[in-house]
Amino acid sequence: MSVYRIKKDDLSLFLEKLREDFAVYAPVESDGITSFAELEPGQEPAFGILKTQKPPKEVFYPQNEIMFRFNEEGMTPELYDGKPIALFGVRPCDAKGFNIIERVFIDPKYEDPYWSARRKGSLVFALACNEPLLSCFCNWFGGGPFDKTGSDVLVIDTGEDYLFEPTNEGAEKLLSNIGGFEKAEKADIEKAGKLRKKAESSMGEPPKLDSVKETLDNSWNSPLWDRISAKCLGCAVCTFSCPTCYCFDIQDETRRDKGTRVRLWDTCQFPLFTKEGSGHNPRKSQTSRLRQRFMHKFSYMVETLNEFGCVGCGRCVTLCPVNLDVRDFLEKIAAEKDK
Amino acid sequence: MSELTEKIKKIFTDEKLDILIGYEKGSLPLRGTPCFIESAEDADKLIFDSTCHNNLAKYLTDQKKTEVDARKIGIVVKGCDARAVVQLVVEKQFERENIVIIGVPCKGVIDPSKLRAKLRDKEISDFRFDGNKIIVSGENFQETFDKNELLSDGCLSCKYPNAPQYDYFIGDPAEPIASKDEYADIDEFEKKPPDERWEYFEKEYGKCIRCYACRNACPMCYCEQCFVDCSMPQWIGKGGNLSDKMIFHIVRAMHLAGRCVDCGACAAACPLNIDVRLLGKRIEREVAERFDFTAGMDFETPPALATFREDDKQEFIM
Repeated sequence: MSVYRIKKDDLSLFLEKLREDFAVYAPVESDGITSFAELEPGQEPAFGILKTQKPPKEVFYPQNEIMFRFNEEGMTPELYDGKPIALFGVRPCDAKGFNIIERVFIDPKYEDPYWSARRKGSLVFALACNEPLLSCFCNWFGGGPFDKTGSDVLVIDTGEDYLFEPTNEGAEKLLSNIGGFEKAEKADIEKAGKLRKKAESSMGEPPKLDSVKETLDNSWNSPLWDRISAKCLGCAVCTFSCPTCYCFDIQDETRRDKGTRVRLWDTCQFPLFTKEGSGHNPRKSQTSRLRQRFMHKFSYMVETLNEFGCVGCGRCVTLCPVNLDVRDFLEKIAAEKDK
Repeated sequence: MSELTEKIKKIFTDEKLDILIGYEKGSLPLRGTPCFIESAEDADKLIFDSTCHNNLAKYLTDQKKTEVDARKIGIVVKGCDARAVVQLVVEKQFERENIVIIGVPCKGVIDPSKLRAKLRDKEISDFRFDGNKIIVSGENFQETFDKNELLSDGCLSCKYPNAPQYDYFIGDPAEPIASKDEYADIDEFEKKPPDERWEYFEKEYGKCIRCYACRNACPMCYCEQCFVDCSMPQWIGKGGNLSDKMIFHIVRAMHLAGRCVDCGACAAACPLNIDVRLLGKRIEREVAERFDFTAGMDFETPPALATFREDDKQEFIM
């Protein structure tokens, strides 16, 4: 696969052309909130933002999604039928997150039509992180600030230019169809290599997490859970901001003789998540709910998907109202083995 | 060893505390974090400064919810936190004698959501306080903020920076910041025409993702089951409907009438910087003016909404 170069000033032209066939989503700041939204004509994306407050998962998997409408006459299914989606400027951690979530929504036996309607035919342009933040830890899970997992094109900001590195033939073909690129020169590639090295080394050595699953599996009744969860408020900030949390609830919203069936994000952190019809709740305490979240990400998903259910974006680290840092937890668990 | 840790160690031993709730250094700059101390030696990690924004009174009801016991719990409190503890005792949420209130002078706390809005995605690696300035720096940048720009809104007009009730007080009492009239924002807001005010609430509450961080961070939101979590019957829709979001915020504000201590924990907890304080502050003023009541000042005065006096103002009754 070749690497292509485009002047920064020409990017808006590229995005305009991309908009002809795609609904282009990019990081934007609106009313004090950073999130991914469909670009209006001429709107400048806010590329300076590494961690949007709201994760880009909501582009493929909206927080509230109507599945169908109903009235006395019957049901009318509702499915996304807009242009294919192009996400421009997601970060490598979030791009990797799409792959993890996708394995839940599209598995060999079942395919979720709502996820697929938005996701199929989509393009992910990930923007490499030249300057990872203190709260970033993608390298703990095999990711990295220049990682290409989950991206169709990795975009690298080299100062005056962007380099576009397609990861598949379809994406390469699309770039050549749109045009406006030159082939990157050796000097460009070297520059990108240096940026990558600098970004990677700024993140420091990740701790060894090989033993985490095994330790967790043997720690179900450990007093550690009480200590870790003591300050947890039990809100949904971590799960709703997480690129790999996918749990949902289904509700009927009715008004007089019509209504909608809606799928909406749910969270294992709320007591209602596991409350049974009888009134019994198997996860009564916040300790058990926090344990569920961490076990799911660092044990169960390792078992079912063979990878950790965390991409190290660090949103939960920066947004948690009480600064409950998942990295502290992982380091404690990793250290358990040495005891 | 600081004065704080030294004195707390002594209190821990003298009072035979089972647990002490205080603050330690967080994992990010300018972020203190709640911590639970189980022995006097453990107290070395305690800190208290402008980074300690959480209201720890919240954890007292948590502890009570999980087990009925007579453990003696010490708690480090700012003025607003102390008022929350007092209000909770008045509301009979736990026994006064099981709680040891340790006051510390508060010079205002940094609201993480304001910090986030100011810094956008620049991350700080270091900071220092210089009088009324906070100088933050990170890779390739340094910025100086006036402390008032980052302090929680409630702090700017706070009249009670020190615990009104306590068992111990560590340090010299702080002067109130009071750089701003308490109800200035409300007065300003109320001058707007109704349409504009409605538009503002629509815009703010429209952003709500119902993570309930505001409710869960609030020391006074301790209902065993919040009305939004009821499923039989289900009182409000859980989807993205604006009126459902509004009902949550309006009912929460009403439930806090005469109880809110304006600690700002709700606003600081919101991941989307929603103005969750305005409505509550308006209701606080209503209670102060009509019933001459300020929540959490002493253990004796009954709560405003739990009493009736013949001279209560009632001109609003048709």
